[in-house]
Amino acid sequence: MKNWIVVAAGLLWQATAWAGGTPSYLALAIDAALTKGADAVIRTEETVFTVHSAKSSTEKVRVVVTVLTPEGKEHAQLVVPYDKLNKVDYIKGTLYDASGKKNRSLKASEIKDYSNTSDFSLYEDNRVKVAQADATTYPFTVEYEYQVSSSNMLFYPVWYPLSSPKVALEHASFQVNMPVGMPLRYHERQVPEKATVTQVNHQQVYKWEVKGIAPVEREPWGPSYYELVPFVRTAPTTFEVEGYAGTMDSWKTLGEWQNKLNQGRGVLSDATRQQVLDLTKNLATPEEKVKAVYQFMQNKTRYVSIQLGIGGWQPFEAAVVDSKGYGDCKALSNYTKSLLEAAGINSHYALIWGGEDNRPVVPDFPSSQFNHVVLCVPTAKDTIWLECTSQTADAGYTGSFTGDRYSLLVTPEGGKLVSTPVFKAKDNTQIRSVQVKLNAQGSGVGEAVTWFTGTQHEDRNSIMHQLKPEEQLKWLYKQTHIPAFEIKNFALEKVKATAPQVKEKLQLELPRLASVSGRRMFITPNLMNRWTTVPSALESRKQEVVWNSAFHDVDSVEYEIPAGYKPESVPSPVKITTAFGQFEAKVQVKGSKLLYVRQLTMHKGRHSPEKYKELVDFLKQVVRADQQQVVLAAEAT
Amino acid sequence: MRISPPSVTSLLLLAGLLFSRVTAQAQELPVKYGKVTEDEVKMKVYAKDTSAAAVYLVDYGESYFSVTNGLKLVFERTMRIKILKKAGYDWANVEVPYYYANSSSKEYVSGIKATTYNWENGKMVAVKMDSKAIFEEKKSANWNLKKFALPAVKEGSVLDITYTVTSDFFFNLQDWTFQHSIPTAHSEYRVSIPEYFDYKKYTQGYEPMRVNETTRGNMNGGGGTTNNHRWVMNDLPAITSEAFITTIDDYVSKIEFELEWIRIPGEIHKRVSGSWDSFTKELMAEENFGGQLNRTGFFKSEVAAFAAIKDTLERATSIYNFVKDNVKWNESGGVVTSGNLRKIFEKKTGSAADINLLLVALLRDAGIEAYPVVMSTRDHGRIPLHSPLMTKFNYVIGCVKIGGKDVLVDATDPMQPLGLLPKRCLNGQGWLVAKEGGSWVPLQTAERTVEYISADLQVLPTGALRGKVKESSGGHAGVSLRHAVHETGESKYLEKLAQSQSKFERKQPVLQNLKELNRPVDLEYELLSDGDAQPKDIIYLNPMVLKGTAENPFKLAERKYPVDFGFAKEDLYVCSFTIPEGYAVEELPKAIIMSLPENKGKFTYMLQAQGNKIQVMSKVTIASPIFNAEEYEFLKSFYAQVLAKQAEQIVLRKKS
Repeated sequence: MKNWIVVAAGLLWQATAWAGGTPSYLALAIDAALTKGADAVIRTEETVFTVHSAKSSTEKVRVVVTVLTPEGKEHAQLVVPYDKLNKVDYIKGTLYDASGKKNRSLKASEIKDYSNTSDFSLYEDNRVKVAQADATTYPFTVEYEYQVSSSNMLFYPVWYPLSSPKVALEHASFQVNMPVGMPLRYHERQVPEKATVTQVNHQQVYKWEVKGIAPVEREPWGPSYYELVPFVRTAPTTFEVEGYAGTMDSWKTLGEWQNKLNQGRGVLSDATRQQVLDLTKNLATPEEKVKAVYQFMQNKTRYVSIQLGIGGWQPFEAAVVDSKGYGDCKALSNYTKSLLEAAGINSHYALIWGGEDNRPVVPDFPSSQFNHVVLCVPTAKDTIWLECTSQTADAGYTGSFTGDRYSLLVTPEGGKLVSTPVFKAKDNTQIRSVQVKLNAQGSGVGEAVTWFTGTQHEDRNSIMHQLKPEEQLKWLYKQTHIPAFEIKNFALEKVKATAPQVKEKLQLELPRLASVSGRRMFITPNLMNRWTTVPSALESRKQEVVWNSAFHDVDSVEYEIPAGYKPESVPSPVKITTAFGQFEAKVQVKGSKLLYVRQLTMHKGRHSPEKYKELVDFLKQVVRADQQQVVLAAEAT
Repeated sequence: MRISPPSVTSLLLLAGLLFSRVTAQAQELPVKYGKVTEDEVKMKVYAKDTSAAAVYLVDYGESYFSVTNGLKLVFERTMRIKILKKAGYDWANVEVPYYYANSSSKEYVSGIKATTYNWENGKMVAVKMDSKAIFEEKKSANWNLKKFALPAVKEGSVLDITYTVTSDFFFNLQDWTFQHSIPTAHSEYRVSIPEYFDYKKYTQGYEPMRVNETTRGNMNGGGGTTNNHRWVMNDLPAITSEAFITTIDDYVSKIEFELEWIRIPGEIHKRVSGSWDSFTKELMAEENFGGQLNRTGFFKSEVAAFAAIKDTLERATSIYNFVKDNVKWNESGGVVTSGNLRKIFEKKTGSAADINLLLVALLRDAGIEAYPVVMSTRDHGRIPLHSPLMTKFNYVIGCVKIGGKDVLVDATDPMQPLGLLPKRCLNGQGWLVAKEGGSWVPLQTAERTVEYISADLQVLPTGALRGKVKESSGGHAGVSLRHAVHETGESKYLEKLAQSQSKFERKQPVLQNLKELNRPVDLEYELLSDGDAQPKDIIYLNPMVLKGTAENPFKLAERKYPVDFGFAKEDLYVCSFTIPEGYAVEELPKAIIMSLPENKGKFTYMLQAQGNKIQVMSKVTIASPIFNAEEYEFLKSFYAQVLAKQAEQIVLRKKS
């Protein structure tokens, strides 16, 4: 599905003179506090969004950017997305030299037009106009003015005048003009001053202004960039798209609007209904029926992106999917819902933000914050989530694409915001057991068996379906980190369990596993799961620490030592517990065997800035512990 | 580039003279749209590659000329694809690109038909694609796409697809790629060319051609003859990319064409492309190539200043820097300039052709012997040496004679010193263009890229290390480092380095020679590593401590294509350890020298203990950057042995 948020929030500016008299684009006039570390400076960015009615709006933007260095060249580029419901009325560009003197106007030929479709999309009318002002001497300044008229009122602007690091901002303003009687809904973050609201003639005018922001830099393992810059979301109360009117002052009413769009689109032929009935009538539990119907859908269809209908938000009819055998996320979810209905199972069409970049939905600001659709099947035992665009996904598995976030269920009673399953460390495991036989030359052979679950099973699950064995082997070579090794044989298999699980078996040849120097042999017992990176130490940490991945790894490696060798030096056990996670490693000698056991558990979480040092120290200790070696010495004869 | 397109009048004449449609070829067609067999639909696996997600059962193309509405080149294609697994579903999504310049110079796609065949309940079921399911997308100013997705696709489906592309660009005979990322059982291309046209053909790839035949045919109506070509390949394996190659396009089995002659009866035969000799002459005669090299009058004052520099190398370097400083590269290549050099200089931005032809012109003006060299970049594939195919070239560099030596120059990268070519240019040979005739020059940089670490470290009784380190990056390594430093800013770069938490801390890092492009960039710092809290009786010392643990870059057991590093390199490491008082060396790894066949690579490793000092020297040299697939095994084991040797440790023991 298309990324509507980007469409709505591109770079939005507008043209009204701002306080301070005639603007000067003299590059040298910029405050040195702003230019430090900046490749470009937004001199001014003015967006005026005028709502004419529930059906239409106009957005006027004016932006002036001074590009200081060649690295900042990209900021002299203007990208204006448009489609059937969003028309670009004009784009104007003017170039100024370093002294602020007008150089020339941008030629029409310098504004290019491209299609903006994603992957293989059969039909999308998403296009972009791209204006690129180029100069070879720096600094230079470019001014753009453009206007977009929209009849897709599902989306009001999301305003964030700063959108990349190494860019400073002198001034920016955002104004929304609403007809009286149509109040604006908004959600502000990181704006120093709240909105001012005034009434001018027949308009209610909302205005935000920000000034003098030096480049915002993310600290390692910090919050996302968008949490650190001024960010205003706006949304309508009442709106209309291509004849479909709705309100979105609550999640309930937004869901009601989607219901209208979906109405009458779930009709299936009697033959298909019968097929579903035959398929499910002998199955005992609703869970079994859901799985059977889901598999039926997976075998019958494939995902093809088609963005048509009510701003891209209306699904194809179920009968169309049934005959063509393909559809996009909306069409396939709607189709699956109809199939389940035929089997007597109730389910909900569910809007969500799909993707590993889990963008948090603001739960107390009902608005269209989604880019994807899945299906939610409530059963007595549990709730089953179905990703209908995949032919290989497991029923009920959400994982890194749709897990751990909000989803808007479209129920007969309207919308309901609910959470999808959370994935904790114990849900994302990698449990490994390795047997190694070492010879006196320092080489070895081994067998490594690993079980992966949760987010840690996703890569392997997908290569099992997507890649041929030769390519799987190449992939495994890339994933396996041992200084020298050869995979003699491998097997990947899906394990039947409550949560999807992949078992990987590797037969390894380990030439020169141990380094032999004279009568000694050096071996790093952590064979294949070493932590290697530590974030930079910072003098003073300002931002919160955000650790986003939860996982639990256990590695047990058993080495059979060649005859005549005895351990000379064995690392002491390590055990560290922090707010971020736990680490434990120890080596035990048992006769001619050496057993290494390591556990690393990391938790997802947000921590205060002071905790950063603890994270750095923790990972530093883990890196050191993972490099520790055992020294074996040949007994004197 | 099209240096001299055939004139319109002669084409009209030709069209009037000749054919309406070339006769069909006698050979039976390998595939007929819609004539799918039950066996094809019932088939479960492709025996020659049981893991294939999909397979081209037949991929058939035919090109011929038509004069129904003016002279057109017609390309018809029919494919039959078997889907075996879900991972192969993408093959049911089809895109046909076509080009549009203007209403009289365009391509158009017609006759799109597609059907999916499935085996259901013991019989074959066909689902035709609805013509409404064909969409059109404008990709860019000149490129458009016809897009369609076949209906009812399942594991086991057979897809029949056919379409026709009709083109006004008759000099642009469609290439044919036999091999795909899925296996192909039968790939066939037929081309029927009227005797009045001669196309040069170029085939490449590692797979054998099963049929390569030419027969004579008659033209409809005209009475002339045609040359009917037929190429067939069978049982082609899937082709996939690997690391350390130029581009997979260099290895895929394909055939390409370039129009060479037009021989219209009653007219002087016209050579459109030709020998290397004529290729050179044409380039010299071309307004935006040879023509530009003589027009440099507008640089009078600059040239006078350069001419005053006596030393040739110094003079060439000044001009090289002048061009780098004044014209910015717009990241496109090109064989001819985008306009005249004066305008380009005023615009201060240009393509590789603009910049490097300007450089050559200026060098010549200042009395230095210099030539343009046309070439192909690594991602654009290699140049066939047997005959010139203009489309195979995409870049120009310069060649300067300094002190009797050829120095290759490219002024597109401000971080690049004179005499070093960017990695993208290190691709086989380039064609040096001179008035008196051209010649091949190997696209190599004379010097190897040297990375040199030297250190003087003190070992403490706890096992900790203290000392000074200097890391020196020359050649390509120097260029990348300069880019990295430039991107982050020098102070920020050093700050990050000092903050980074690896095995040891790097205090007070300093960078030197950032501006002296001819010298390696030096990074110097004080090293501090943690030891244990207690002094130890035995200290295990990794002699290569500054290099960290490395992995063999070559992990895969087999290799199909040559390994191409791009350039020769040398990795040098010299470290002196001072051992703590009261300790003695108990074990020292043994020295070794080993070489790859033909001395294409060499590893020298020396360790020496003297008094309280241990000297370690490691040198890994790759003298020749290209290794063929048969040499892969040696290369892999060479790296494995280097890593194993470098992992051996020194043991120090406290004297009792």
